[in-house]
Amino acid sequence: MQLALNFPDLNIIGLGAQDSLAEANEFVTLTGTTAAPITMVWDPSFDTWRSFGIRSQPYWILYDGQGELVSSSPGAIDFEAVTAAL
Amino acid sequence: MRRTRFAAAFLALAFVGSACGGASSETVAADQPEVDRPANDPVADLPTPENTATNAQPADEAAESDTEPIAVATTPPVTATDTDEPAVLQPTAPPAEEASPTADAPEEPAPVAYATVELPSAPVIDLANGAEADLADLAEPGPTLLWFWAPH
Repeated sequence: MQLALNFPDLNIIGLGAQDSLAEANEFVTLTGTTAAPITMVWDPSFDTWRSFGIRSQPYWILYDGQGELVSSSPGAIDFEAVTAAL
Repeated sequence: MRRTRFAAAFLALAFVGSACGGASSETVAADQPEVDRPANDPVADLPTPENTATNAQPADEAAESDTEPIAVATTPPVTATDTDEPAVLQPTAPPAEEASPTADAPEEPAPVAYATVELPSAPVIDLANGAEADLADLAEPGPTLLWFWAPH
């Protein structure tokens, strides 16, 4: 992902859920996200999603360098908003 | 140099000339290589060019030694200037200038102190290696973007 390449200090964690582990692996292979500096994980229990109150996907949450919540938005990642926040 | 060699040659000839009358045949035999000549041959008493050169050698050495002091005399001023250099350099290199480059160097920006987001502890599967991990352990210092996704 271009965002990860543009901001090497940005920690990006992809939290996958739903469907199956095989489909999750197929997804990361097709999207090439494992080659990018992104940590891609899969949660079969939905516990992580529930702890953040996620009810739909895609969804993204951004924290700044001080750990403060900057944005919590459904839908695709807004690159401009992330860039502006960093 | 020419004058010295000429004087040395002249002295050598004068020395040989004065020695001709008193020299015995035994002395000549000792100085000269063995040659088949009659004992009373006057030619045997004459100096050969080699003898002249041999006799003149001290004069040449003396002449050369006259030039040696000149060469030696030129070296002390060089060492004298070498010894003078530290005295000249010391006042031009004050210790304050050594410290000035670090003082004048632009200050580097202080490294940004990042905080680490606290993520909930939950078991997840790392898709890079298939190993089980704890989401809380994946947090690192710095800005963090959580992306929630599903295969379909």
